[in-house]
Amino acid sequence: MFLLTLCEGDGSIMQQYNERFKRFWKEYPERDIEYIRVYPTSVSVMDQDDVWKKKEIVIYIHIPFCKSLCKYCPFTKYPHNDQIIEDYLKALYKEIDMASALPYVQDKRIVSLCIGGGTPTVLSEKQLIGLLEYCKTKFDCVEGLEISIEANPETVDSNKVKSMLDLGVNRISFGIQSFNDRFLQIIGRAHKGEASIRAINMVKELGLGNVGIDLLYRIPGQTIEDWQNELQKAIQLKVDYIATFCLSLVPGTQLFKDIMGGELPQQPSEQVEFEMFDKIKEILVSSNYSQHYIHDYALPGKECEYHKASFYAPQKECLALGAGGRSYINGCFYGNVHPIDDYINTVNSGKLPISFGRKLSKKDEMSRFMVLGVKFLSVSKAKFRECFGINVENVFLETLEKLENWGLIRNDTDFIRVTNKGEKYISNVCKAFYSPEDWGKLQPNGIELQKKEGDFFMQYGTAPKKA
Amino acid sequence: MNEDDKKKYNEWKEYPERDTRGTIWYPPSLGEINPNDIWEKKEIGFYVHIPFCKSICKYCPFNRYRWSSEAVESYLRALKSEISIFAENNYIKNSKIVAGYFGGGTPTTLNNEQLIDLITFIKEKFNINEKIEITVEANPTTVDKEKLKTLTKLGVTRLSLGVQSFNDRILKSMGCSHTVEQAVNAIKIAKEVGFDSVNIDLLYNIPGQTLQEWEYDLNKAIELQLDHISPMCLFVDSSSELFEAYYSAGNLPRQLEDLELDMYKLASKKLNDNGYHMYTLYDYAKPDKECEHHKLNWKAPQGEYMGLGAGAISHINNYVYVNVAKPEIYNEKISNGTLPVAFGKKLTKEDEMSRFMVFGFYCLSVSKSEFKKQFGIEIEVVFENEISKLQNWGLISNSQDTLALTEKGMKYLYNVSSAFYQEEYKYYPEDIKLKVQPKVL
Repeated sequence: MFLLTLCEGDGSIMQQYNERFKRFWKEYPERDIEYIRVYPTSVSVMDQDDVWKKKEIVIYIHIPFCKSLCKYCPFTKYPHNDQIIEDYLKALYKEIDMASALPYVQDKRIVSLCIGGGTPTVLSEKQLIGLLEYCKTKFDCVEGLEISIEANPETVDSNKVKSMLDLGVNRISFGIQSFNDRFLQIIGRAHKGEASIRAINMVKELGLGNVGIDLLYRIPGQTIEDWQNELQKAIQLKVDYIATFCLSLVPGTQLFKDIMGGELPQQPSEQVEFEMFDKIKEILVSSNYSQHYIHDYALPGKECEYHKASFYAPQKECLALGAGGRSYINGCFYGNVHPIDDYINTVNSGKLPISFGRKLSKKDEMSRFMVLGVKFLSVSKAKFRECFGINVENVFLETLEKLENWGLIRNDTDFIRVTNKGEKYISNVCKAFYSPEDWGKLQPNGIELQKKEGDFFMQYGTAPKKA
Repeated sequence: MNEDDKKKYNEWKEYPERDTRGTIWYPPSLGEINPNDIWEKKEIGFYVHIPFCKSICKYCPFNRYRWSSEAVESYLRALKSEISIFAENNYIKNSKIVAGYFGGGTPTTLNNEQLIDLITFIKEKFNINEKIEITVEANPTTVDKEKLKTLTKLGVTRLSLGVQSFNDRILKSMGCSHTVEQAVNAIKIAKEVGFDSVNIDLLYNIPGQTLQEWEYDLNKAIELQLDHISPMCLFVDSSSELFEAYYSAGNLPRQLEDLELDMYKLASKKLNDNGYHMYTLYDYAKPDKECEHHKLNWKAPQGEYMGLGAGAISHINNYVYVNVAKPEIYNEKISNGTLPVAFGKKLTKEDEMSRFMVFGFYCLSVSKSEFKKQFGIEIEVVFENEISKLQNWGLISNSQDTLALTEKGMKYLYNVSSAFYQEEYKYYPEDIKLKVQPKVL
């Protein structure tokens, strides 16, 4: 081949050939006769590491057990029972075997491992050690990868934490929800505010680099002052990462029933919710936290890699393991079976426990890029172009104009940015980017709860068509 | 829960109403899915380059070297190592091989033992257990009945003979080592031993060749009842001996464009009248005899293939890259345990879109819905200007789902293809724009 002989020569020969070959680029009506063997024509010197560099993905592992069940929680979880946990872990190991043997997965490097729930720390120290060690041997983890574990203040002790730190756990996220015992009782949390403070102080003393907490607002009876106190407490405890959640009433949960039945007061009004939301930014930003994600704030350098991988556009692929885990990988979004016994039986029969999902079209991927991306408040237009080869305006012009007219986003030169107003309407912003066939469809959350409500689940898939 | 509550909860809210249901998953509507669908292996092809010839044809621009038994032995050792490295590659493990092609050079310069050893090794390493199309290129002087039988036994389904011409004078002028008699004999044996498909390459518009001589070649090919015929217009490539000869004499050979087109039309008519259909601009096949490998390379959306051997080109894992060309350097690289990648490019999405079009038209037309499926965007949005320009020139037609070369467009294929180049590559002939000059290969 011409090029090959050329490369083994020197630069002056290249010059000569360049001159000679100029005649071959012809514009119609002149006839071009050069046979095209390779495209693209502009190449660089490279080696095998360029071509075969592994892509980075994240892993999520679901531990669906809790010591006690919170009244508002729509996630997959079951009361704690030693035998079931043992059986579950055995099955989980088998799923890890199957998933890690997939060539597609072997071709990837893991940059973050997140163990969530449920409550992963209901596992004993020995069980946790076993699981973490198993993951590290089975997957190609980058050195010093983020290992993040969700925990409940009551299910950690110093021995367990020390073991976790030894195994490379560098982030713990506590489901604190509130430091106020009155609200903890309303939402059905088993722990007391004191226990949370002890747990946070303990892990910090043991040297954990990144302590995160979840805090809940718009709890029945909660005032703005109550909420400010929660935030101040978190700052005072020097937690690294604060994830705030507006309490969302999910049909089928105990809390939903208690409020509907009049046993608990209604939630504070939307107006109060907005004020609480504004307080978060006001208070945390003035204390050196930056808004990392619409509802999450972190001290410098304490952002969560896993979270970023899941939402920040372009999103990374996620392999989710365990009952009810949701994966986005190899062009598909799919969920594992939810009921623990089904999960265990399916895995034990040698099959991957995948129950429902969807192969994404290119259009779906573009939508996904935006829908989840805007939750990080800015989406890079250059990255969109890089991923899809087309400008975001070519695909979403109408949507962008509509949202801009409503004052929910700004279409800057380089980024699509969510405005302050847009932050309060973030779900409207997200959903504006849905593919038309998904308009009106609700989130595939808490599937088994929905199933209990009979045909209600079916309605999820058939919401009214948008005009 | 009463109906009102359900309704309230279920409602899809449009601004200025506020939607309070968070979005953490997308897409939301899911259906049943089979793990096998999620983890289905990607279909890819392989190409193996055997860069040795007993003698070198004057017009040949490819990566080829004079055969010697020592050179072949050490090359085959390195080639097997490269195959082993690929077989351990997870991307390849996640792929299913659907077609293979041994090109050259002359693959049939290998002796029977070497062919058995190499092909068995590849099939074993890549778990090729089912029958797939495997093509071997051959030169009439390097095959006999025993070798061809050996190939069919190894699962080679397709033989492609570099016949070039049925005129001894022309064969000689092109420096081909075989005679017409040898070519005809090789074709007859090939048909006898039972390949699924036997192809020959024919060259036209060779300096000094008349239209009558070309007609004779076509008639002869039809008479021999070949399954597949690839007529190629002679292109005097700069890396051929022919080019060097003419270049040092101060001018390129005269190739008459009118004659070329007459020859092209004659081939098209004759082959069509005799039961062959054109499926790429260079390939005519009897029904069901189209070459999978060619379609993988050219037909949009193009498939992936790994190129094995010195100078082989790969299109895989979003890269197009070329192996080092010289067998000695290739052998040396492999013996260090590294893949002998020389240079290439990671394809951007724009490159992929261009590639879809550039090579797609080799197969005469591209499907708009396939483009949309591949890239999530209408072809007209991306290539509006190019399409209307080519339409205005009368080179392509635009119907409901298809952009197709017109009859005029077939004559101007490379104008059509290069119209879809990314702006940055325009005005540079293929292979020219090396960004960095490599020092050592």
